[in-house]
Amino acid sequence: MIAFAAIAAGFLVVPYMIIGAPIEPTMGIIQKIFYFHAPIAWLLLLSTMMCAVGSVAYLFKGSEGGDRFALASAELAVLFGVCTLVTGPLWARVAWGVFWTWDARLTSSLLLWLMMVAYLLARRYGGPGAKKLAAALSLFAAVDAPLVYVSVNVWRTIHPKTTVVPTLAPPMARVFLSSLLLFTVLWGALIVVRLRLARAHAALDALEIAYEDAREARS
Amino acid sequence: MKTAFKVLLAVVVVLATPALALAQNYQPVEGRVRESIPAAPFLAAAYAFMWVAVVVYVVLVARRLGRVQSDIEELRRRLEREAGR
Repeated sequence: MIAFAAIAAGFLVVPYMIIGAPIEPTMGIIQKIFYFHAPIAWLLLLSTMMCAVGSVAYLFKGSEGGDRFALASAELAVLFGVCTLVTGPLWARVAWGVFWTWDARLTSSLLLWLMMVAYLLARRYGGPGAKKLAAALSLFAAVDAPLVYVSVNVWRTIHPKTTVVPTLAPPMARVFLSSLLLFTVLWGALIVVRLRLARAHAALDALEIAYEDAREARS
Repeated sequence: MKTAFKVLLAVVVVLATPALALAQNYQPVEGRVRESIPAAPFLAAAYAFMWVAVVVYVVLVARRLGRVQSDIEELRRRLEREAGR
């Protein structure tokens, strides 16, 4: 219900704010992709870091809750990674003239997304021990996430630098920060829904074991 | 051999002439020229894709949750039957 409310709010509020945002003189209206591209890229990084936090709890404390949180975060990382990697090239086509270039920011983001896809594939097809293997993989992704963020400052790149956000004009900053807040709330709602599914799976597994035990005891 | 060379030279000249003429069609223009790609469809496509992806994900999770909850109910009923025997 929270997720649906957040999505509805997003549908209604974000376009209204983006349409009303000032037009950037160099790039024109395509720059308005920034108001949702940057927040969803932030959610990719947030999801990756949260996946690593859950994985650490699972690897070092054996926390099943941590493992469920890591899995939920990994799914959201893949979801928001796809959104980032589609909206970015659409912006680039108009601003740079090409959909893709092997720029440090773009390449490190693609690698991060591939690592999170690998996490999910390892979970699904890895067999026994897959949880630990995937958890270890998520730690490598967590190392890449800060690199994605600083890549535009460290390497020569045509992607806008991290200094763009602090130097935004106040009317643009208001739209960006509102959008960032809204998308972060959406992330929170999605993680709650996904954790509910993970807990239901765990309850189902426990019931299946109890049912098998009851049948064996009767026979 | 000389004839062959002359023929080859003639072919090169014949083929090169239109190429040069085509190359001369590139004319410099004064001032800044930008490729005009309409931005609005790209902006709309990016926005629509993002929301479609999120909605599809929510629908998939809701369907999975529904299936798991019905499985849980079914197993609970079976367990109660087992306990009653």
